[in-house]
Amino acid sequence: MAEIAVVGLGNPLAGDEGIGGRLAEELERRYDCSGVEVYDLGTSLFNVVHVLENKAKAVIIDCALMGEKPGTIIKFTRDEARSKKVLRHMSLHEGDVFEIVNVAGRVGSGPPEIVFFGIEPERIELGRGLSASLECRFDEYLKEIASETGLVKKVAGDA
Amino acid sequence: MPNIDVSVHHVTRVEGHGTIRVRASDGKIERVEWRVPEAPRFFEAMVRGRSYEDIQTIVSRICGICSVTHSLAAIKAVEDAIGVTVSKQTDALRIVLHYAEQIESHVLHVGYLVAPDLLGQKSVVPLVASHPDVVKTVIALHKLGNAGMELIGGRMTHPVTVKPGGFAKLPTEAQLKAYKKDLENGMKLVGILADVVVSLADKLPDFNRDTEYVALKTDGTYTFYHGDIASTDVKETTDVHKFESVANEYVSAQSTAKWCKWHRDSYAVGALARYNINADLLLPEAKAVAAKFGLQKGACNPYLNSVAQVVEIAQVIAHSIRLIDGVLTDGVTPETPKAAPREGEGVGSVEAPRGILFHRYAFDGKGMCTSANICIPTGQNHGNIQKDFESLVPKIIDKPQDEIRLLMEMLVRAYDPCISCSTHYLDVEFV
Repeated sequence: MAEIAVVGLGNPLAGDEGIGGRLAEELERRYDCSGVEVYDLGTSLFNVVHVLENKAKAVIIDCALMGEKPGTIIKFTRDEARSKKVLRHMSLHEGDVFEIVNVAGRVGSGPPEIVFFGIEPERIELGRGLSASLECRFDEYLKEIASETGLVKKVAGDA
Repeated sequence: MPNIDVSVHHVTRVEGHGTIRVRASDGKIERVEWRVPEAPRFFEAMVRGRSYEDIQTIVSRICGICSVTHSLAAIKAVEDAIGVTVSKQTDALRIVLHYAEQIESHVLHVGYLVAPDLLGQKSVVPLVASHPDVVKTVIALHKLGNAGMELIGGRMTHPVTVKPGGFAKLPTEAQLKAYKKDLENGMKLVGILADVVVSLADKLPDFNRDTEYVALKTDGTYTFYHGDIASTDVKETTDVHKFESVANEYVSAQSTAKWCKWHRDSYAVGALARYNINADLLLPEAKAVAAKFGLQKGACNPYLNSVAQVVEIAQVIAHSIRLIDGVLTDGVTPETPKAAPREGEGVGSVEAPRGILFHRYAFDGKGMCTSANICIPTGQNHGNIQKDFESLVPKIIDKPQDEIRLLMEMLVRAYDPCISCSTHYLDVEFV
Protein backbone atom coordinates (compact mmCIF):
# COMPACT_ATOMS: atom_id res chain seq x y z
CA MET A 1 0.00 0.00 0.00
CA ALA A 2 1.27 3.45 -0.91
CA GLU A 3 2.39 5.66 1.95
CA ILE A 4 1.08 8.91 0.47
CA ALA A 5 -2.55 9.69 -0.31
CA VAL A 6 -3.51 12.58 -2.57
CA VAL A 7 -7.18 13.40 -2.05
CA GLY A 8 -9.15 15.68 -4.34
CA LEU A 9 -12.47 16.95 -3.02
CA GLY A 10 -15.31 18.87 -4.58
CA ASN A 11 -18.50 18.82 -6.57
CA PRO A 12 -17.75 18.92 -10.32
CA LEU A 13 -21.27 20.21 -10.95
CA ALA A 14 -20.67 23.36 -8.90
CA GLY A 15 -18.08 25.25 -10.93
CA ASP A 16 -14.82 25.99 -9.09
CA GLU A 17 -16.02 23.85 -6.18
CA GLY A 18 -14.92 20.86 -8.25
CA ILE A 19 -11.27 21.91 -8.50
CA GLY A 20 -10.00 19.20 -6.12
CA GLY A 21 -11.42 16.33 -8.14
CA ARG A 22 -10.25 17.84 -11.45
CA LEU A 23 -6.71 18.15 -10.13
CA ALA A 24 -6.69 14.58 -8.79
CA GLU A 25 -7.90 13.30 -12.14
CA GLU A 26 -5.31 15.25 -14.15
CA LEU A 27 -2.51 14.40 -11.75
CA GLU A 28 -3.09 10.71 -12.43
CA ARG A 29 -3.32 11.31 -16.16
CA ARG A 30 -0.21 13.40 -16.54
CA TYR A 31 2.10 12.19 -13.76
CA ASP A 32 3.62 8.86 -12.82
CA CYS A 33 1.70 8.17 -9.61
CA SER A 34 3.30 4.87 -8.66
CA GLY A 35 3.93 4.94 -4.94
CA VAL A 36 1.10 7.41 -4.38
CA GLU A 37 -2.61 6.71 -4.12
CA VAL A 38 -4.72 9.40 -5.77
CA TYR A 39 -8.40 9.71 -4.90
CA ASP A 40 -11.14 11.85 -6.37
CA LEU A 41 -13.64 11.57 -3.53
CA GLY A 42 -16.08 14.11 -4.93
CA THR A 43 -18.38 15.13 -2.09
CA SER A 44 -18.01 11.86 -0.15
CA LEU A 45 -16.32 13.49 2.79
CA PHE A 46 -16.69 10.58 5.19
CA ASN A 47 -14.67 8.40 2.84
CA VAL A 48 -11.68 10.63 3.62
CA VAL A 49 -11.39 8.74 6.91
CA HIS A 50 -11.05 5.44 5.03
CA VAL A 51 -8.42 6.53 2.53
CA LEU A 52 -6.21 8.17 5.15
CA GLU A 53 -5.88 4.92 7.07
CA ASN A 54 -2.32 3.53 7.28
CA LYS A 55 -0.84 6.44 5.35
CA ALA A 56 2.31 8.34 6.36
CA LYS A 57 1.22 11.50 4.57
CA ALA A 58 -1.90 12.95 3.02
CA VAL A 59 -2.26 15.82 0.58
CA ILE A 60 -5.79 17.19 0.49
CA ILE A 61 -6.82 19.47 -2.36
CA ASP A 62 -9.98 21.51 -2.04
CA CYS A 63 -11.65 24.72 -3.04
CA ALA A 64 -11.24 27.15 -0.10
CA LEU A 65 -12.70 30.54 0.72
CA MET A 66 -9.58 32.24 2.08
CA GLY A 67 -10.25 35.89 1.25
CA GLU A 68 -7.61 35.80 -1.47
CA LYS A 69 -7.68 36.72 -5.16
CA PRO A 70 -9.57 34.08 -7.18
CA GLY A 71 -7.18 31.43 -8.43
CA THR A 72 -4.73 31.80 -5.53
CA ILE A 73 -3.34 28.51 -4.26
CA ILE A 74 -2.10 28.27 -0.68
CA LYS A 75 -0.44 25.33 1.02
CA PHE A 76 -1.15 25.01 4.72
CA THR A 77 -1.31 22.55 7.56
CA ARG A 78 -4.19 21.93 9.93
CA ASP A 79 -2.51 24.08 12.59
CA GLU A 80 -2.12 27.05 10.29
CA ALA A 81 -5.81 27.60 9.55
CA ARG A 82 -9.09 27.65 11.39
CA SER A 83 -12.42 26.75 9.85
CA LYS A 84 -15.03 29.50 9.75
CA LYS A 85 -17.60 27.22 8.21
CA VAL A 86 -20.97 27.05 9.92
CA LEU A 87 -22.46 23.63 9.35
CA ARG A 88 -26.19 23.17 9.18
CA HIS A 89 -25.79 19.37 9.14
CA MET A 90 -28.14 19.27 6.21
CA SER A 91 -26.78 16.21 4.49
CA LEU A 92 -23.86 13.86 4.14
CA HIS A 93 -22.55 16.01 1.33
CA GLU A 94 -22.25 19.03 3.54
CA GLY A 95 -19.23 18.92 5.74
CA ASP A 96 -16.01 20.40 6.90
CA VAL A 97 -12.92 18.51 5.88
CA PHE A 98 -11.08 19.82 8.96
CA GLU A 99 -13.63 18.06 11.15
CA ILE A 100 -13.32 14.87 9.15
CA VAL A 101 -9.54 14.96 9.46
CA ASN A 102 -10.00 15.40 13.21
CA VAL A 103 -12.30 12.37 13.25
CA ALA A 104 -9.66 10.36 11.39
CA GLY A 105 -7.02 11.41 13.90
CA ARG A 106 -9.17 10.53 16.89
CA VAL A 107 -10.02 7.05 15.61
CA GLY A 108 -6.38 6.38 14.79
CA SER A 109 -6.69 6.68 11.00
CA GLY A 110 -5.00 10.05 10.55
CA PRO A 111 -1.53 10.18 8.96
CA PRO A 112 1.14 12.02 10.94
CA GLU A 113 1.58 14.55 8.13
CA ILE A 114 -1.35 16.24 6.42
CA VAL A 115 -0.94 19.06 3.93
CA PHE A 116 -3.80 21.06 2.45
CA PHE A 117 -3.83 22.90 -0.84
CA GLY A 118 -6.61 25.47 -0.82
CA ILE A 119 -7.61 27.16 -4.06
CA GLU A 120 -9.63 30.37 -3.93
CA PRO A 121 -12.68 30.12 -6.22
CA GLU A 122 -14.03 32.76 -8.54
CA ARG A 123 -17.50 31.27 -8.70
CA ILE A 124 -19.35 28.47 -6.92
CA GLU A 125 -22.59 27.91 -8.76
CA LEU A 126 -24.38 25.14 -10.59
CA GLY A 127 -22.60 24.22 -13.79
CA ARG A 128 -19.61 22.27 -15.05
CA GLY A 129 -16.16 23.67 -15.72
CA LEU A 130 -13.75 26.00 -13.95
CA SER A 131 -13.67 29.78 -14.14
CA ALA A 132 -10.93 31.47 -16.18
CA SER A 133 -9.10 32.47 -12.97
CA LEU A 134 -8.52 28.82 -12.07
CA GLU A 135 -8.29 27.35 -15.55
CA CYS A 136 -5.36 29.58 -16.52
CA ARG A 137 -3.38 28.47 -13.46
CA PHE A 138 -4.31 24.79 -13.62
CA ASP A 139 -0.84 23.56 -14.70
CA GLU A 140 0.76 25.57 -11.92
CA TYR A 141 -1.47 23.84 -9.36
CA LEU A 142 -0.49 20.45 -10.72
CA LYS A 143 3.21 21.30 -10.50
CA GLU A 144 2.88 22.42 -6.86
CA ILE A 145 1.04 19.26 -5.86
CA ALA A 146 3.46 17.05 -7.79
CA SER A 147 6.38 18.77 -6.15
CA GLU A 148 4.86 18.22 -2.71
CA THR A 149 4.48 14.51 -3.40
CA GLY A 150 7.66 13.95 -5.45
CA LEU A 151 5.79 12.99 -8.62
CA VAL A 152 7.33 13.33 -12.06
CA LYS A 153 5.55 13.76 -15.37
CA LYS A 154 4.89 10.71 -17.47
CA VAL A 155 7.15 10.46 -20.48
CA ALA A 156 5.56 11.38 -23.80
CA GLY A 157 3.28 8.65 -25.08
CA ASP A 158 2.44 7.29 -21.63
CA ALA A 159 -0.35 9.73 -20.99
CA MET B 1 -53.22 25.83 25.37
CA PRO B 2 -50.04 26.59 23.48
CA ASN B 3 -49.58 28.33 20.17
CA ILE B 4 -47.18 26.26 18.09
CA ASP B 5 -45.33 27.38 14.99
CA VAL B 6 -42.80 24.82 13.81
CA SER B 7 -41.21 25.59 10.48
CA VAL B 8 -38.20 23.51 9.56
CA HIS B 9 -36.90 24.56 6.19
CA HIS B 10 -34.75 21.65 5.07
CA VAL B 11 -34.66 18.90 7.67
CA THR B 12 -31.07 18.15 8.63
CA ARG B 13 -29.19 14.86 8.27
CA VAL B 14 -31.30 13.61 5.39
CA GLU B 15 -30.26 13.53 1.77
CA GLY B 16 -32.01 16.40 0.07
CA HIS B 17 -34.48 19.06 1.01
CA GLY B 18 -37.70 18.45 2.88
CA THR B 19 -39.68 20.95 4.91
CA ILE B 20 -41.83 20.51 8.01
CA ARG B 21 -44.65 22.93 8.80
CA VAL B 22 -46.84 22.75 11.90
CA ARG B 23 -49.10 25.50 13.15
CA ALA B 24 -51.44 25.34 16.13
CA SER B 25 -53.38 28.14 17.74
CA ASP B 26 -54.59 27.79 21.32
CA GLY B 27 -53.91 24.05 21.09
CA LYS B 28 -55.96 23.65 17.93
CA ILE B 29 -53.92 22.21 15.07
CA GLU B 30 -54.37 24.29 11.93
CA ARG B 31 -51.70 22.87 9.67
CA VAL B 32 -49.41 19.82 9.56
CA GLU B 33 -47.38 19.39 6.41
CA TRP B 34 -44.45 17.46 5.00
CA ARG B 35 -43.26 19.28 1.89
CA VAL B 36 -40.64 18.40 -0.69
CA PRO B 37 -39.43 21.46 -2.60
CA GLU B 38 -36.72 19.73 -4.69
CA ALA B 39 -36.42 20.51 -8.38
CA PRO B 40 -37.07 17.63 -10.80
CA ARG B 41 -33.98 15.72 -12.01
CA PHE B 42 -35.19 14.72 -15.52
CA PHE B 43 -33.37 11.37 -15.60
CA GLU B 44 -36.32 9.76 -17.39
CA ALA B 45 -35.87 12.30 -20.20
CA MET B 46 -32.08 12.08 -20.07
CA VAL B 47 -31.96 8.38 -20.98
CA ARG B 48 -34.26 8.69 -24.00
CA GLY B 49 -32.23 8.21 -27.18
CA ARG B 50 -29.40 6.49 -25.27
CA SER B 51 -28.22 2.93 -25.91
CA TYR B 52 -29.45 -0.01 -23.81
CA GLU B 53 -25.78 -0.53 -22.88
CA ASP B 54 -25.49 2.87 -21.18
CA ILE B 55 -28.70 3.11 -19.15
CA GLN B 56 -27.35 1.64 -15.91
CA THR B 57 -24.34 3.95 -15.99
CA ILE B 58 -26.46 7.06 -16.47
CA VAL B 59 -29.12 6.28 -13.87
CA SER B 60 -26.58 5.24 -11.25
CA ARG B 61 -25.95 8.99 -10.99
CA ILE B 62 -29.41 9.51 -9.56
CA CYS B 63 -27.85 8.91 -6.18
CA GLY B 64 -24.37 8.64 -4.65
CA ILE B 65 -25.62 6.45 -1.82
CA CYS B 66 -27.78 4.00 -3.76
CA SER B 67 -25.94 4.08 -7.09
CA VAL B 68 -25.57 0.28 -7.14
CA THR B 69 -29.28 -0.14 -6.51
CA HIS B 70 -30.23 2.11 -9.43
CA SER B 71 -27.70 0.34 -11.69
CA LEU B 72 -29.11 -3.06 -10.80
CA ALA B 73 -32.76 -2.07 -11.21
CA ALA B 74 -31.85 -0.60 -14.60
CA ILE B 75 -29.85 -3.61 -15.74
CA LYS B 76 -32.66 -5.96 -14.76
CA ALA B 77 -35.13 -3.84 -16.72
CA VAL B 78 -32.83 -3.67 -19.75
CA GLU B 79 -32.27 -7.44 -19.72
CA ASP B 80 -36.00 -7.98 -19.33
CA ALA B 81 -36.60 -5.76 -22.37
CA ILE B 82 -34.04 -7.35 -24.67
CA GLY B 83 -34.67 -10.92 -23.48
CA VAL B 84 -31.37 -11.72 -21.75
CA THR B 85 -31.00 -14.12 -18.84
CA VAL B 86 -27.84 -14.14 -16.77
CA SER B 87 -25.78 -16.95 -15.25
CA LYS B 88 -26.11 -18.17 -11.67
CA GLN B 89 -22.66 -16.67 -11.02
CA THR B 90 -23.68 -13.23 -12.32
CA ASP B 91 -26.85 -13.34 -10.27
CA ALA B 92 -24.97 -14.25 -7.09
CA LEU B 93 -22.28 -11.61 -7.56
CA ARG B 94 -24.83 -8.91 -8.35
CA ILE B 95 -26.61 -9.73 -5.11
CA VAL B 96 -23.32 -9.60 -3.15
CA LEU B 97 -22.66 -6.21 -4.78
CA HIS B 98 -26.15 -5.06 -3.88
CA TYR B 99 -25.66 -6.22 -0.29
CA ALA B 100 -22.42 -4.24 -0.02
CA GLU B 101 -24.45 -1.12 -0.76
CA GLN B 102 -27.07 -2.10 1.83
CA ILE B 103 -24.28 -2.37 4.43
CA GLU B 104 -22.79 0.97 3.44
CA SER B 105 -26.11 2.81 3.30
CA HIS B 106 -27.64 1.33 6.46
CA VAL B 107 -24.48 1.99 8.48
CA LEU B 108 -24.39 5.52 7.15
CA HIS B 109 -27.98 6.07 8.21
CA VAL B 110 -27.88 4.41 11.61
CA GLY B 111 -24.35 5.48 12.51
CA TYR B 112 -23.98 8.92 11.02
CA LEU B 113 -27.52 10.27 10.79
CA VAL B 114 -29.64 8.66 13.52
CA ALA B 115 -27.07 7.97 16.28
CA PRO B 116 -26.50 11.69 16.94
CA ASP B 117 -30.25 12.01 17.75
CA LEU B 118 -30.05 9.13 20.21
CA LEU B 119 -26.86 10.43 21.80
CA GLY B 120 -28.01 14.05 21.94
CA GLN B 121 -25.53 15.48 19.44
CA LYS B 122 -25.94 17.56 16.26
CA SER B 123 -23.75 15.31 14.13
CA VAL B 124 -21.44 12.32 14.29
CA VAL B 125 -18.34 14.49 14.72
CA PRO B 126 -18.79 15.26 18.45
CA LEU B 127 -19.45 11.55 19.01
CA VAL B 128 -15.80 10.83 18.30
CA ALA B 129 -14.91 12.41 21.60
CA SER B 130 -17.80 11.00 23.63
CA HIS B 131 -18.22 7.55 22.02
CA PRO B 132 -15.00 6.72 20.11
CA ASP B 133 -15.62 2.96 20.02
CA VAL B 134 -19.07 3.46 18.47
CA VAL B 135 -17.62 5.71 15.79
CA LYS B 136 -14.79 3.25 15.10
CA THR B 137 -17.32 0.44 14.64
CA VAL B 138 -19.45 2.56 12.33
CA ILE B 139 -16.43 3.60 10.25
CA ALA B 140 -15.20 0.00 9.95
CA LEU B 141 -18.61 -1.26 8.79
CA HIS B 142 -18.99 1.64 6.38
CA LYS B 143 -15.58 0.78 4.95
CA LEU B 144 -16.64 -2.87 4.59
CA GLY B 145 -19.59 -1.88 2.40
CA ASN B 146 -17.42 0.41 0.30
CA ALA B 147 -14.84 -2.36 -0.14
CA GLY B 148 -17.49 -4.79 -1.41
CA MET B 149 -18.78 -2.25 -3.93
CA GLU B 150 -15.27 -1.47 -5.13
CA LEU B 151 -14.39 -5.17 -5.46
CA ILE B 152 -17.41 -6.23 -7.51
CA GLY B 153 -18.63 -2.93 -8.96
CA GLY B 154 -15.18 -1.60 -9.83
CA ARG B 155 -15.71 1.62 -7.85
CA MET B 156 -16.89 2.63 -4.39
CA THR B 157 -19.87 4.40 -5.95
CA HIS B 158 -21.38 4.38 -9.44
CA PRO B 159 -20.34 0.85 -10.49
CA VAL B 160 -18.65 0.42 -13.86
CA THR B 161 -18.57 -3.38 -14.18
CA VAL B 162 -22.33 -3.97 -14.38
CA LYS B 163 -23.23 -4.67 -18.01
CA PRO B 164 -26.26 -6.16 -19.78
CA GLY B 165 -25.66 -9.93 -19.67
CA GLY B 166 -23.07 -9.98 -16.89
CA PHE B 167 -19.95 -8.24 -15.65
CA ALA B 168 -17.21 -6.39 -17.55
CA LYS B 169 -14.74 -7.61 -14.92
CA LEU B 170 -14.99 -10.36 -12.36
CA PRO B 171 -13.34 -10.53 -8.95
CA THR B 172 -10.74 -13.26 -8.49
CA GLU B 173 -11.26 -16.16 -6.12
CA ALA B 174 -8.51 -14.75 -3.89
CA GLN B 175 -10.29 -11.39 -3.74
CA LEU B 176 -13.59 -13.04 -2.90
CA LYS B 177 -11.94 -15.08 -0.14
CA ALA B 178 -10.40 -11.92 1.32
CA TYR B 179 -13.76 -10.10 1.16
CA LYS B 180 -15.46 -13.08 2.83
CA LYS B 181 -12.97 -12.83 5.69
CA ASP B 182 -13.73 -9.11 6.00
CA LEU B 183 -17.45 -9.92 6.07
CA GLU B 184 -16.89 -12.44 8.87
CA ASN B 185 -15.10 -9.76 10.87
CA GLY B 186 -17.92 -7.37 9.97
CA MET B 187 -20.46 -9.73 11.49
CA LYS B 188 -18.74 -9.30 14.87
CA LEU B 189 -18.93 -5.52 14.45
CA VAL B 190 -22.67 -5.73 13.76
CA GLY B 191 -23.04 -7.36 17.16
CA ILE B 192 -21.26 -4.39 18.75
CA LEU B 193 -23.38 -1.89 16.78
CA ALA B 194 -26.56 -3.74 17.72
CA ASP B 195 -25.63 -3.68 21.42
CA VAL B 196 -25.09 0.08 21.23
CA VAL B 197 -28.41 0.67 19.47
CA VAL B 198 -30.19 -1.66 21.91
CA SER B 199 -28.81 0.40 24.78
CA LEU B 200 -30.30 3.53 23.19
CA ALA B 201 -33.54 1.99 21.91
CA ASP B 202 -35.56 3.48 24.75
CA LYS B 203 -34.80 6.90 23.25
CA LEU B 204 -36.76 5.97 20.12
CA PRO B 205 -40.23 7.51 20.46
CA ASP B 206 -43.10 5.13 21.18
CA PHE B 207 -45.41 6.02 18.32
CA ASN B 208 -47.43 3.41 16.48
CA ARG B 209 -49.74 3.87 13.50
CA ASP B 210 -51.32 0.99 11.66
CA THR B 211 -49.66 1.13 8.25
CA GLU B 212 -49.62 -0.71 4.94
CA TYR B 213 -46.08 -1.96 4.25
CA VAL B 214 -44.87 -2.87 0.76
CA ALA B 215 -41.77 -4.82 -0.26
CA LEU B 216 -40.48 -7.49 -2.60
CA LYS B 217 -41.21 -11.08 -1.65
CA THR B 218 -39.96 -14.40 -2.95
CA ASP B 219 -39.87 -17.98 -1.73
CA GLY B 220 -37.10 -18.97 0.65
CA THR B 221 -35.13 -15.73 0.86
CA TYR B 222 -35.35 -12.45 2.73
CA THR B 223 -35.12 -10.75 -0.64
CA PHE B 224 -33.65 -7.48 -1.80
CA TYR B 225 -33.27 -8.49 -5.45
CA HIS B 226 -35.82 -10.97 -6.76
CA GLY B 227 -39.54 -11.48 -6.33
CA ASP B 228 -42.95 -9.92 -6.69
CA ILE B 229 -44.56 -7.00 -4.89
CA ALA B 230 -46.14 -7.85 -1.55
CA SER B 231 -48.28 -5.80 0.81
CA THR B 232 -49.12 -6.40 4.46
CA ASP B 233 -52.72 -5.60 3.49
CA VAL B 234 -53.28 -8.48 1.05
CA LYS B 235 -52.18 -12.10 0.69
CA GLU B 236 -51.59 -12.22 -3.07
CA THR B 237 -48.48 -10.66 -4.60
CA THR B 238 -48.31 -8.48 -7.72
CA ASP B 239 -45.93 -8.97 -10.63
CA VAL B 240 -43.35 -6.17 -10.79
CA HIS B 241 -44.43 -5.51 -14.39
CA LYS B 242 -47.59 -4.04 -12.92
CA PHE B 243 -45.82 -1.70 -10.51
CA GLU B 244 -47.72 1.35 -11.75
CA SER B 245 -50.91 -0.22 -10.41
CA VAL B 246 -49.20 -0.52 -7.00
CA ALA B 247 -47.59 2.90 -6.77
CA ASN B 248 -50.55 4.82 -8.24
CA GLU B 249 -48.40 7.93 -8.40
CA TYR B 250 -50.23 11.22 -8.03
CA VAL B 251 -49.41 14.87 -7.66
CA SER B 252 -49.73 16.65 -4.33
CA ALA B 253 -49.91 20.45 -4.14
CA GLN B 254 -47.47 20.52 -1.23
CA SER B 255 -44.67 18.63 -2.99
CA THR B 256 -42.64 18.68 -6.18
CA ALA B 257 -42.19 14.91 -5.76
CA LYS B 258 -45.00 12.55 -6.73
CA TRP B 259 -46.79 10.70 -3.94
CA CYS B 260 -48.05 7.12 -3.93
CA LYS B 261 -50.87 5.05 -2.47
CA TRP B 262 -52.13 1.49 -2.90
CA HIS B 263 -54.79 -0.06 -0.66
CA ARG B 264 -54.97 2.95 1.68
CA ASP B 265 -54.18 6.66 1.58
CA SER B 266 -50.47 5.88 1.75
CA TYR B 267 -47.99 3.05 2.26
CA ALA B 268 -44.46 2.66 3.61
CA VAL B 269 -41.42 1.01 2.07
CA GLY B 270 -37.96 0.36 3.51
CA ALA B 271 -36.28 -1.85 6.07
CA LEU B 272 -39.30 -2.05 8.38
CA ALA B 273 -41.56 -2.90 5.43
CA ARG B 274 -39.21 -5.69 4.35
CA TYR B 275 -39.04 -6.94 7.92
CA ASN B 276 -42.79 -6.95 8.31
CA ILE B 277 -43.18 -8.95 5.10
CA ASN B 278 -40.16 -11.26 5.20
CA ALA B 279 -38.96 -11.55 8.83
CA ASP B 280 -39.67 -15.30 8.88
CA LEU B 281 -37.02 -15.74 6.19
CA LEU B 282 -34.16 -14.04 8.04
CA LEU B 283 -31.00 -16.07 8.51
CA PRO B 284 -30.20 -17.15 12.08
CA GLU B 285 -27.51 -14.47 12.48
CA ALA B 286 -30.05 -11.74 11.67
CA LYS B 287 -32.79 -13.34 13.77
CA ALA B 288 -30.37 -13.19 16.71
CA VAL B 289 -29.95 -9.44 16.21
CA ALA B 290 -33.72 -8.96 15.88
CA ALA B 291 -34.13 -10.89 19.15
CA LYS B 292 -31.80 -8.45 20.93
CA PHE B 293 -34.28 -5.70 20.11
CA GLY B 294 -37.37 -7.82 20.59
CA LEU B 295 -38.39 -6.63 17.13
CA GLN B 296 -41.64 -8.33 16.16
CA LYS B 297 -43.15 -8.84 12.73
CA GLY B 298 -46.04 -6.43 12.49
CA ALA B 299 -44.23 -3.56 14.21
CA CYS B 300 -45.73 -0.28 13.04
CA ASN B 301 -43.58 2.29 14.81
CA PRO B 302 -41.80 4.12 11.96
CA TYR B 303 -38.93 5.07 14.27
CA LEU B 304 -38.07 1.33 14.37
CA ASN B 305 -36.97 1.49 10.73
CA SER B 306 -33.44 2.15 11.98
CA VAL B 307 -33.60 -0.95 14.18
CA ALA B 308 -34.76 -3.02 11.20
CA GLN B 309 -31.77 -1.64 9.28
CA VAL B 310 -29.38 -3.00 11.93
CA VAL B 311 -31.05 -6.41 11.62
CA GLU B 312 -30.67 -6.18 7.85
CA ILE B 313 -26.95 -5.40 8.09
CA ALA B 314 -26.54 -8.77 9.84
CA GLN B 315 -28.78 -10.42 7.23
CA VAL B 316 -26.89 -9.16 4.18
CA ILE B 317 -23.49 -9.93 5.68
CA ALA B 318 -24.59 -13.48 6.54
CA HIS B 319 -26.15 -14.02 3.11
CA SER B 320 -23.14 -12.52 1.31
CA ILE B 321 -20.89 -15.06 3.03
CA ARG B 322 -23.15 -17.91 1.88
CA LEU B 323 -23.33 -16.59 -1.70
CA ILE B 324 -19.55 -16.18 -1.90
CA ASP B 325 -19.14 -19.72 -0.59
CA GLY B 326 -21.39 -20.89 -3.42
CA VAL B 327 -19.39 -19.01 -6.07
CA LEU B 328 -16.11 -20.31 -4.65
CA THR B 329 -17.40 -23.89 -4.55
CA ASP B 330 -18.23 -23.71 -8.26
CA GLY B 331 -15.09 -21.68 -9.01
CA VAL B 332 -15.15 -18.22 -10.61
CA THR B 333 -15.94 -18.90 -14.26
CA PRO B 334 -14.77 -16.37 -16.87
CA GLU B 335 -17.80 -15.06 -18.75
CA THR B 336 -18.28 -12.54 -21.51
CA PRO B 337 -21.52 -10.59 -21.19
CA LYS B 338 -23.75 -11.39 -24.15
CA ALA B 339 -26.52 -8.99 -25.07
CA ALA B 340 -27.88 -7.62 -28.32
CA PRO B 341 -30.41 -4.89 -29.06
CA ARG B 342 -34.03 -5.84 -29.56
CA GLU B 343 -37.24 -3.87 -29.59
CA GLY B 344 -39.04 -4.36 -26.33
CA GLU B 345 -40.03 -3.09 -22.94
CA GLY B 346 -38.88 -4.29 -19.53
CA VAL B 347 -39.19 -3.72 -15.81
CA GLY B 348 -36.60 -4.13 -13.08
CA SER B 349 -37.30 -3.97 -9.38
CA VAL B 350 -34.92 -4.25 -6.45
CA GLU B 351 -35.02 -3.16 -2.85
CA ALA B 352 -33.03 0.05 -2.39
CA PRO B 353 -31.76 0.47 1.18
CA ARG B 354 -34.72 2.80 1.73
CA GLY B 355 -37.33 0.67 -0.01
CA ILE B 356 -38.68 -0.91 -3.15
CA LEU B 357 -37.52 0.67 -6.42
CA PHE B 358 -38.98 0.29 -9.91
CA HIS B 359 -37.45 1.04 -13.32
CA ARG B 360 -39.24 0.61 -16.67
CA TYR B 361 -37.65 1.20 -20.08
CA ALA B 362 -38.69 0.68 -23.71
CA PHE B 363 -36.21 0.29 -26.58
CA ASP B 364 -36.45 0.42 -30.36
CA GLY B 365 -34.93 -2.22 -32.67
CA LYS B 366 -31.52 -0.54 -32.48
CA GLY B 367 -31.53 -0.69 -28.69
CA MET B 368 -32.16 3.01 -28.22
CA CYS B 369 -34.31 3.98 -25.25
CA THR B 370 -37.67 5.39 -26.25
CA SER B 371 -39.25 5.82 -22.82
CA ALA B 372 -38.42 5.50 -19.13
CA ASN B 373 -40.28 5.49 -15.85
CA ILE B 374 -38.49 5.41 -12.51
CA CYS B 375 -40.44 5.14 -9.26
CA ILE B 376 -38.20 5.66 -6.22
CA PRO B 377 -38.77 4.53 -2.63
CA THR B 378 -38.51 7.96 -1.06
CA GLY B 379 -41.30 9.12 -3.37
CA GLN B 380 -43.40 6.18 -2.21
CA ASN B 381 -42.84 7.18 1.42
CA HIS B 382 -43.78 10.87 1.20
CA GLY B 383 -47.51 10.27 1.60
CA ASN B 384 -46.87 8.02 4.57
CA ILE B 385 -44.67 10.60 6.29
CA GLN B 386 -47.56 13.06 5.93
CA LYS B 387 -50.02 10.55 7.42
CA ASP B 388 -47.61 9.82 10.27
CA PHE B 389 -47.34 13.54 10.94
CA GLU B 390 -51.13 13.88 11.05
CA SER B 391 -51.30 11.08 13.62
CA LEU B 392 -48.23 12.07 15.63
CA VAL B 393 -48.76 15.80 16.05
CA PRO B 394 -52.03 15.62 18.07
CA LYS B 395 -50.26 13.23 20.46
CA ILE B 396 -47.31 15.58 21.06
CA ILE B 397 -48.92 18.99 20.64
CA ASP B 398 -48.66 19.73 24.38
CA LYS B 399 -44.89 19.25 24.36
CA PRO B 400 -42.48 22.20 24.08
CA GLN B 401 -42.09 23.48 20.53
CA ASP B 402 -38.43 22.40 20.26
CA GLU B 403 -39.32 18.87 21.30
CA ILE B 404 -42.12 18.74 18.71
CA ARG B 405 -39.64 19.88 16.09
CA LEU B 406 -37.08 17.25 17.11
CA LEU B 407 -39.62 14.40 17.17
CA MET B 408 -40.82 15.34 13.70
CA GLU B 409 -37.31 15.64 12.33
CA MET B 410 -36.44 12.26 13.84
CA LEU B 411 -39.52 10.78 12.19
CA VAL B 412 -38.46 12.06 8.78
CA ARG B 413 -34.91 10.81 9.36
CA ALA B 414 -36.25 7.38 10.36
CA TYR B 415 -37.51 6.96 6.79
CA ASP B 416 -33.94 7.55 5.59
CA PRO B 417 -35.16 9.80 2.78
CA CYS B 418 -32.74 10.45 -0.02
CA ILE B 419 -33.66 13.47 -2.06
CA SER B 420 -30.64 15.27 -3.65
CA CYS B 421 -27.03 16.60 -3.42
CA SER B 422 -25.02 19.79 -2.79
CA THR B 423 -21.59 21.38 -2.14
CA HIS B 424 -19.05 21.27 0.66
CA TYR B 425 -16.17 23.77 0.11
CA LEU B 426 -13.79 24.86 2.90
CA ASP B 427 -14.13 28.29 4.53
CA VAL B 428 -10.97 29.18 6.46
CA GLU B 429 -9.00 31.95 8.07
CA PHE B 430 -5.30 31.68 8.76
CA VAL B 431 -3.96 31.80 12.30
